[in-house]
Amino acid sequence: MSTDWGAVYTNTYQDLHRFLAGKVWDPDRAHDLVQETFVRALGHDPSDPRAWVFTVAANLARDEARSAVRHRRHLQLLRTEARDEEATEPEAPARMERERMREEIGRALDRLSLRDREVLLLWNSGNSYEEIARLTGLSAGAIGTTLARARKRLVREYEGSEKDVARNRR
Amino acid sequence: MSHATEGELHAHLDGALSAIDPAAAARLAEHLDRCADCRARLDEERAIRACAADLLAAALPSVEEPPFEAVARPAGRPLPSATTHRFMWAASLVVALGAGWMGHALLGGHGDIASSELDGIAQTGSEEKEDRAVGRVSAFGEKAAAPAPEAAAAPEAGAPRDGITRNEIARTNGDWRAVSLEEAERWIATRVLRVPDLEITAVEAAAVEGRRVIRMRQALPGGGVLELVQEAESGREAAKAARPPSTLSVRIGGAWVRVSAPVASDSLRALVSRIR
Repeated sequence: MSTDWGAVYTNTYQDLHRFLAGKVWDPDRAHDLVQETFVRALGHDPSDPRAWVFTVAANLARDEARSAVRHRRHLQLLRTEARDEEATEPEAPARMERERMREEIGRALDRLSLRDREVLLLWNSGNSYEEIARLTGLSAGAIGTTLARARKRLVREYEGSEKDVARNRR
Repeated sequence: MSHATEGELHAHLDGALSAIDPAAAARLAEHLDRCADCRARLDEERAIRACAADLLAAALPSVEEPPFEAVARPAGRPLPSATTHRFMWAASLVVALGAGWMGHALLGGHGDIASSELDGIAQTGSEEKEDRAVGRVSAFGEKAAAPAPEAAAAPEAGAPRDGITRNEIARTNGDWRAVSLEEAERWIATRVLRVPDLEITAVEAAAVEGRRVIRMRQALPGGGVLELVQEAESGREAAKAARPPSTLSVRIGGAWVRVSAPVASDSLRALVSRIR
């Protein structure tokens, strides 16, 4: 029986989008990559469609990585300019603070090793240890250790950057 | 057992330890009952895990999925009217099937190529000035498109100018009429080529400078639109067509197919190989 890609799409869109958004750090681009993943899926009939789309998505995101870094730098520049214009709106401070936090979290994620980041994003996208093991080639027994390290590093890096921000504000 | 490792504690907190190693899960439960140090460490790891989850949730919020329209349409269902469907032109993917395209000259070929031979297709990363013309006319069907410059549709020296071009299509604004698939096939006296798995959202027919042309739209996953233009006759000398960035030209079943899309070339190839 051929794969019901409509059902796979419904069941995996949010997880796939979250995974890709974590990798390319751009929600719109993540959506484009989800769409591209499913365009590629048409006509395929893999035994494990969820693993298949995550593998394709991971490959697309890897191809994207270099340009995404450039793009992100550009976006940050634009945001800085936009902030100057928006500073007079009543809700601007709260929104700017959320955006600043989001950027700090992104920077903290960037400081993880590629492997740790991948495993953390796959877990955060609803994949089980067994699925993460299949997707990354790690043993299922190693996923817990990897996640422990990745979570700790993420929290430490983020808290470190927040302390820097607090110090600079004083 | 010796003290629990961080990996075991996180696997336990994630509810995964019993699935990947039931014996280790049983040992850990027993150990936690007896070891206050490991219980304290478990609480610390729980706090770190929650903090990391909060950070990721704040940075990567959930999104609603756009509708998936690329599931095959059951046979016999009527086609939606072309006038009621809202097209996302900005994200559209255009496939043009015509009498001749740049690819013809590039490949110099006569006869068909199978989809397995797509590696030989001509791929262009066009930098020619016609690209801008394509950008302008890509929303064909809308009123008041700027007249395309003649230069963009000009034939190569010596070549008869009888291949359909995007600019010609753009100039037929308002002449398209919605038709059924069967009517479209009668109009161009041949089978309408399409990607089988994609839902057909509209079929229209028109006469473009005396030639019978149909155009069809199919929904892509996530809301994009594939446009397909096919002309009644085929096999004549190529007229120079405007080329958007990243284009594939390929011959399928006697028709020249020109594909351009905002997706990677691999995806384009995958789509082209599915046109029947």
